[in-house]
Amino acid sequence: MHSVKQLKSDFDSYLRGEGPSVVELAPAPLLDEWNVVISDYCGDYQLYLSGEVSGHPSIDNGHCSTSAVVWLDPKERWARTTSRVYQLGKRAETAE
Amino acid sequence: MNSDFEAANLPLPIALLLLDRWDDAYAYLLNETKLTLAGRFLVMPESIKYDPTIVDREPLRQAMLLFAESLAGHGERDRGLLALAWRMLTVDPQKPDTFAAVMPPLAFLAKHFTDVTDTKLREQIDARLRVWWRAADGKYKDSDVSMFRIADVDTRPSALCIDDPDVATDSPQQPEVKGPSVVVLSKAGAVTKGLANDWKSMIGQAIPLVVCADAAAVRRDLYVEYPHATQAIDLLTRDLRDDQPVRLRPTLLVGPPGGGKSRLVRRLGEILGLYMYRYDATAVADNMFGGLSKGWGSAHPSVPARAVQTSMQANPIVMVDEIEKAADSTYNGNLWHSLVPFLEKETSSRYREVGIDAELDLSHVNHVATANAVDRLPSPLRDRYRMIRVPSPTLAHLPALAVQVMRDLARDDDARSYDEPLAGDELDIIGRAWARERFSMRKLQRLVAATLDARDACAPRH
Repeated sequence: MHSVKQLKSDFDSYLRGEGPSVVELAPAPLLDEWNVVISDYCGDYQLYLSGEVSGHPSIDNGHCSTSAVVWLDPKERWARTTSRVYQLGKRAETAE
Repeated sequence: MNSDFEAANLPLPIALLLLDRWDDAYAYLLNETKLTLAGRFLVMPESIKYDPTIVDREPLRQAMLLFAESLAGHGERDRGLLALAWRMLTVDPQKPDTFAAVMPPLAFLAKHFTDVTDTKLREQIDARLRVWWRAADGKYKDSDVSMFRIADVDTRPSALCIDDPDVATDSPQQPEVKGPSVVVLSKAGAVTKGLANDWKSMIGQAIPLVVCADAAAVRRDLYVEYPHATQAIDLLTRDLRDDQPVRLRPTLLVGPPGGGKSRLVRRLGEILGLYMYRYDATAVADNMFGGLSKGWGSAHPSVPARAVQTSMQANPIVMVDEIEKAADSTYNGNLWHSLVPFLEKETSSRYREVGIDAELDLSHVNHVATANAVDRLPSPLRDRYRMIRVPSPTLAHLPALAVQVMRDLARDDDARSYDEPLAGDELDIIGRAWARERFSMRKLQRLVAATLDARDACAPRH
């Protein structure tokens, strides 16, 4: 269902300012205490989120890393990865 | 550069990615925003106006983020692109978190919505994007210049760019006691069998890099000779650093014929003690510049390789004169195509010389080209050269220039070194004739020489 085509059309609607609807967002898994991780695989960079997930269809509640993020809501309420939409909870306090 | 971007039809954030400075990006974006919003009920707030005198950028950053927020969310795609572009201006390499909302859409745009057929442009976009990623990953936390500047410097075709004092590095390089040098032809890069003797002696040999002793003095000397082109000189010599090897970005001098462009390059080389190899593009309809393979009767190394070999300097200047006049047929390969690999660090540092069947590091060679106009140049080349306009002199510059011309004449002809300076009435006459010649430097030389000859003819003989 989440083909590249679907991803591109979702991306386009985010550009137009149309984020995921309440209907889409409500059942989405929640990621809490999350932080941003950037991975570098031979110059192929990706940004993903890691945190405490709940309500994910295929992952048990607990710590998890998402797939690559395609769009991070600037207000940090939600994120779209290549596979699904996440609701975002609180950002983790940075240790620094 | 704007027209190039439009030609390639890049999404706005990607076009922005290719700009070299934050100020440029800001000016470009401001203009794009005005164009996009023209006729729509949205005014740009005063708060996003950039004032270089204000040191604290944080309020501006916040205002831009707010503006980006107000741009997005109106069902229009181009406004979403604008919003992302404005967010790009707010990233701060010292605070990698500021990249989080920018990088995913930027990377996605570059991958899925950027139709670029030109592979070099594609590489450039990808290279810049990688630098942005590294910054997002906190690799430039100690840097205090803008993201655009970092991306520019870090994708420049030169290995020595880490020495650029504008970009903070972890370990400042200690100047070496003995002069810097580089191995152009490494043992691994060559098949010794059948290699000509001149080249054999170069294997594994460190070839010195010419060092710039005093950049300010070079600039001063050139100012005197080119009073009309001080701005061009500033740009041309901007990469020079005291006690560092001479490293110029590939540069294209553009200006009316006779403006003294080639001579400016020659003088720069002379002052720096750099060998200059002049390559005339006017009659070129092949890729001799890149070298000729052994099979073609006469094996021929590439022009940059010849320049290194003749001068035994690793960073001589190769000047392609009147580059726009090269024939553009692709039948025998053309000059423009063969130039491109030399202008990129990656390819020039391991250039395969077909003529001598060896791999050379020619990445330190300085490339300068001159042109009267650039519209015929293909954009891959235009993108790789930093363009500098060399204006024609005006009558106001005549006295200063005439002195220089006389000095030149004296150098060629000892008898001329005893000439009296030109008098006011002589300058008047020269000036009038020179104006008719559209202030060509070349013509000026002839006019001054003719005036001196006339003076000799009329001089009383003792």
